[in-house]
Amino acid sequence: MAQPLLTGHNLALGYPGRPKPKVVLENLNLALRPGQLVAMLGPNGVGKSTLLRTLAGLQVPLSGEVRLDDAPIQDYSPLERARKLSMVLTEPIQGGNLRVQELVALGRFPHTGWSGRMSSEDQDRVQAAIDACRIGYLAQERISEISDGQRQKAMIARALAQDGPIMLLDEPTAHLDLPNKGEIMHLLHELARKQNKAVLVSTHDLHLALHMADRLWLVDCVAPLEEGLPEDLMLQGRVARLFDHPQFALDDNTGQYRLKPSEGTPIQITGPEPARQWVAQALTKRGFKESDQASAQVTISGISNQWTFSYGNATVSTVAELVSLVTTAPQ
Amino acid sequence: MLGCLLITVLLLGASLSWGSVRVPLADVWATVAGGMAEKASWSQIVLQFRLPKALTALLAGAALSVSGLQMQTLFRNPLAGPFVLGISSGASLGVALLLMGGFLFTGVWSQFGGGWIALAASLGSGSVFLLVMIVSLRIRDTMTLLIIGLMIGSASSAVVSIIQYFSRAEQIQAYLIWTFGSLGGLSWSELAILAPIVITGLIMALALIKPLDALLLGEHYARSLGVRIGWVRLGIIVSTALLAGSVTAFCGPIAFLGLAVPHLARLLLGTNRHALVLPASLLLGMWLLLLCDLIAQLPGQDTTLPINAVTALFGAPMVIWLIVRKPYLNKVF
Repeated sequence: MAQPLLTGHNLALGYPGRPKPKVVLENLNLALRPGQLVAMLGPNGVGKSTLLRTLAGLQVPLSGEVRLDDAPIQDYSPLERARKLSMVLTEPIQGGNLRVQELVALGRFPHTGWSGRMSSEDQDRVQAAIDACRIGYLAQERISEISDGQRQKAMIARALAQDGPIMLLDEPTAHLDLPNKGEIMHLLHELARKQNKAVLVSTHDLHLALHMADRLWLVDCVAPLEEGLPEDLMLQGRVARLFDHPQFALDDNTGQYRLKPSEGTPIQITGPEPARQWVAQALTKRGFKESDQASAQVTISGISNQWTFSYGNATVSTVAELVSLVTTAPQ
Repeated sequence: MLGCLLITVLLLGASLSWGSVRVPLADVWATVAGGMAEKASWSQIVLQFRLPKALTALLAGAALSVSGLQMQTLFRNPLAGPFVLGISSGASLGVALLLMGGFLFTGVWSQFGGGWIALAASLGSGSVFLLVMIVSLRIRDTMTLLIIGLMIGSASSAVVSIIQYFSRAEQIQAYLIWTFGSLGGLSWSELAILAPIVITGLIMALALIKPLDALLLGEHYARSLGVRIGWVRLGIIVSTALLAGSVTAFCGPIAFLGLAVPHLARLLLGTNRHALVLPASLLLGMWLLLLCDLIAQLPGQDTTLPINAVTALFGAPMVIWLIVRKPYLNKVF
């Protein structure tokens, strides 16, 4: 495995305070390696943003040490650090009068002289970052006039133009629609692969993280941070433990987060997938519970797009009709 | 480039030639070139009154606009101006103490010249500046600084009101006349103090162009780009204090220019990049203040309007216009 670029040793994070500091997370030992997309999952308020800021050297840990290229990160000057490590933050960006091209060019800040004049190499890097994020068609647009997804890609391009081996992103897929979420994660995965970057993303998009990330960090306020291949963590039930909730649970088979089966009127549902599971979901919402021994029985037949649902003597063609049938006429 | 120079020269020429006594442009040129005008009194007027006044307008216009731009970017607030840190309030307090407080405390009423007033204003704005700087070194959040600046401003205005309440009419009038602002009345020796201070402030501002750009994305992004936020903030405050403080000391509190000109520059150039907006604000500020001074000098009349009234009459509609064009203001920061 490649040498880690950024490591955390026995980190304790939080805020200094009197009489005693407020500790958010402790005993963290972490490593970010080049060529990997790492997704950090954890509940709101657990300290993911604090961890990102600490790893970026923008906040000092209460104890422990962050090492960048095997030297303490505090030993780097702000500019040296910015040449190694770039960030995308959750805060909405302003300066709306800027064009995408100008925004991305700001990423060259740590490389240009006092006047900010761009050399031809700087300009090439900006163009390369814009190309890698496939936003060339937006280069002359103002950042206030593009969509949230496009703006997020522009921010990633800006971080890429900063040209460090490490990129830290705080919830880059928040508030985006599904295709945009997918595109952003895919882009980050591609950057890790093709440009050998070490990319750390905090996210709440469990499915995308499982699907796209090379490693997962599971951050929880009660358990120590767990780290590993998404598939391993899934099979070991650790992801499920992180998301455990009185009413919801992670389905080990699909990775879907769904309502736990609770008490309800037992009903038996038979038929081909995927119709069976959608019918089960619709009926669970109405207070039924799937059971193989139940006397009440729904039978599904048909193939894709052409389903028929039978309940007692009646046969209907939509789940809506079935639900009203089952709820109004219990057998 | 050439066009900018041409506009500056034209406005300068106009402001040297116009006034209660009209001096023909040819004589203005002759005088400035070191010769003599047709009438000796014309040379006298141009050299002793109009040239210092025009140069003051250039310096003050540039200083107020550039410091306004810096404040708007630092606080990412389109309504910020050179005086949000309380610098002009401090100057007002200093002048109020000199013009009215002296009598209040000693019972002796005396007239004070421009030099004394400038000194009192500098002391006032200087102490506010020291206070703001100490605060800025202690806090991490720039917004707190803005609120503290506004509070200092309110507190000093309150003290000024109290002093006014206990003062006599002629003293209040002397103070009020100072608050109207005036570009005239600077001698060459006073100009020799103002000019180097303003130029130092402008050079500092030019040196800060790059971090100012980074600040457009907000403080956190600026830090992630390698900006030493503490130093940059300090630099911006010192530069603003030099620019706005010195101009206020010599010319009184000139309103609106510092707020309106940066917006005008951004609108004209269609960008927020300081490498363009800062020099543009500098030039536009110089031109606008010269123009305001020309307007104040009602042609064919002996009286001149207070410069503050003219800039505000110009500035207020402009600010209203900007606010009505809301999409633009929303997009600035």
